[in-house]
Amino acid sequence: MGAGMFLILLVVVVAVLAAAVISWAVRRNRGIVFDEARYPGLAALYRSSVRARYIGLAASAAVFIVAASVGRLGRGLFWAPAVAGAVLIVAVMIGQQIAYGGARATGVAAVERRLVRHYLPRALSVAVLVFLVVLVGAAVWTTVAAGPDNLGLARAFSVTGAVTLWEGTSPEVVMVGSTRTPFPGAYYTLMLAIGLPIVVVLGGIALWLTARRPRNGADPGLVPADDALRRQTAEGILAAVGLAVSVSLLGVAASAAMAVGGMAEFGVGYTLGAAGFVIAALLSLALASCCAVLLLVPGGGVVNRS
Amino acid sequence: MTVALRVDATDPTPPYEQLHRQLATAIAFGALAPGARLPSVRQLAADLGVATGTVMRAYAELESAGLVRSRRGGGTTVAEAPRALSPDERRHSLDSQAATFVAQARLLGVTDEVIAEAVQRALSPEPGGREVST
Repeated sequence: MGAGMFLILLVVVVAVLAAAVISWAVRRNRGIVFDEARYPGLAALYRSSVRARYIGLAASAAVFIVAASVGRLGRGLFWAPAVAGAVLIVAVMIGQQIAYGGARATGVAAVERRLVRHYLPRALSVAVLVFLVVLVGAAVWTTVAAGPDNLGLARAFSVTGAVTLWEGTSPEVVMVGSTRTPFPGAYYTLMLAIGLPIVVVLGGIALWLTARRPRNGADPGLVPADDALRRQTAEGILAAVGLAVSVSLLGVAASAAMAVGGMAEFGVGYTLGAAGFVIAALLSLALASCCAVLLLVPGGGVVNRS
Repeated sequence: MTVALRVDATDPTPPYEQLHRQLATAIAFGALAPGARLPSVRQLAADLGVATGTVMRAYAELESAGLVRSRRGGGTTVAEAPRALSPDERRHSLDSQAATFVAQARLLGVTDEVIAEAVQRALSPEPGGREVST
């Protein structure tokens, strides 16, 4: 398949993906409806959460641009997703902390256990976990496989092997070597190793705070709206982690695909490897798109007015 | 079924005792089934807006009465077969409830004789008396 065909196929896949994501975004429930006059504390908490989410999105976009420009040879691009994700999560946490006790009625509570898993969207949780495992696996492999470039930085992918050359009618086997840069070696993956644990830990803390936020669980009118708000917040936090993970994997997979794909003359294994990275990059793009929609169009379900 | 807990700040009964009593009643009446997990101390304290020590003490009282079991890392659960109270424990519980009643009754400004008469009326299922079930 020629490069032109591949490009057309890529454009078609991205277009179909974009159409699916836009269609899904339009159909999503956009807000939590409840009696705001009856529950002013919860209403303040809701407004604060939504406001913080959009401020956080704007701040994280700005931070992404700044973080991406730090370091030489595109190094900043590998920690920018994690830094931006961390900023977004902190913003969501602040939004929640501002009106933390909004759903509480001092002196009244229900005997109920609220755990993080009660509010996590299952499919998104599994997807983020799978992509995180793939990212760690890919980053470990590229770190091990990388070698130094001409500047001595671990960002090159080198292969030495036998290649059959045809001189007239007789084949000649010669040993040749090839080096491709940029490749996500330790020079880049070190930034991931610093950034990703921070965003994952911050996400965990934010989810824990979301589940633990106090409320009057004995009020049957408040509980469904409060649960919906918690689900929405947890979804936002998970989407922020998912965005950091998927964009990081997109960077690793795309750069690895280009470097590994350039070694096709050394064997079919490199072509297959590059194809694997391309698939990972496309799937990362899909997850990143989903996470962006989840963040931009907060869902959470409609709760009947009480 | 949702079991609601209320801590009344104007009640002279200590908050931990109010919690203890409500949880014990919910367990005795089966509203909290054996094996049911109670909320964590921190969560319940935050929900009620009381100190964690208040909930810890209420849970400790329930545990010493054999109504719940606490395991490190496993939370607090309602005991499978709450053990029967010993005569001493029954007397202690009765004394505690009587003391609370007397304290509340005195807030009404009545004499001890009037309070005793009220207890007598509650005990005797005669016309004019009122049987109280708990």
